Amino acid sequence: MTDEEIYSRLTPIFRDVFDDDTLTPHPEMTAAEVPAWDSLSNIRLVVAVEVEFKIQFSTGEVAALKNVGEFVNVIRQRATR
Amino acid sequence: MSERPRVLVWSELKEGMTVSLPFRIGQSEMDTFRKLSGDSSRIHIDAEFARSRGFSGPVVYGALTVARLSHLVGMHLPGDLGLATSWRIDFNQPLYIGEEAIFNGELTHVSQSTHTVSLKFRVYAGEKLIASGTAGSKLLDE
Repeated sequence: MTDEEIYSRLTPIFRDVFDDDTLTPHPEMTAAEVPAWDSLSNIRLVVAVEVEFKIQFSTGEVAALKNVGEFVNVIRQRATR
Repeated sequence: MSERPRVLVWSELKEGMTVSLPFRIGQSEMDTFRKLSGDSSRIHIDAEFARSRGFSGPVVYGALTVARLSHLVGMHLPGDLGLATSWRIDFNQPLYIGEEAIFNGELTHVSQSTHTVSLKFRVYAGEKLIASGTAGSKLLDE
């Protein structure tokens, strides 16, 4: 799976979870630049990504992520379709 | 004595678990919710008005169906240790006062990383789909 495909599938998830139709995830994006990105919305984001890509993250993986680019790296390693 | 919530710990929650809860909304619940919400729109309280708009009678407040969702997740699946993180609901067809209905829920995703579970639900009155949606809950420590 290419990063382009991952970002194209992440975009509607980000827009839905953070209720912002202008949001476009990019590698350097962090929670600090998205006002609605709090602990509860982060749970919704992780769950929505797990469901979309049919994968499971570990607690440690999620806690260690520093930005969207690292999130995409983990998705690419795990996702098969 | 009031019903006690089911206590399910994390290791007991599995995808595919289901729960079905029959219910019926009566006039007293409609009256209570009207006072609580301040919603006196005629579609919910005026039978003549509702019939003139093509309904069989006053339509049950959607929030009273949502209240049954609260019962389902808080009391049954995941039960006592769950904390709601998201609810989404679509209302498909009207539910009428006194009509027999059933809430069917199924656990569709168990997220180890966030300690949350996702539930899909459908509400039927006979063959009629009343509402459908999803509910997410984070499981608290025992």
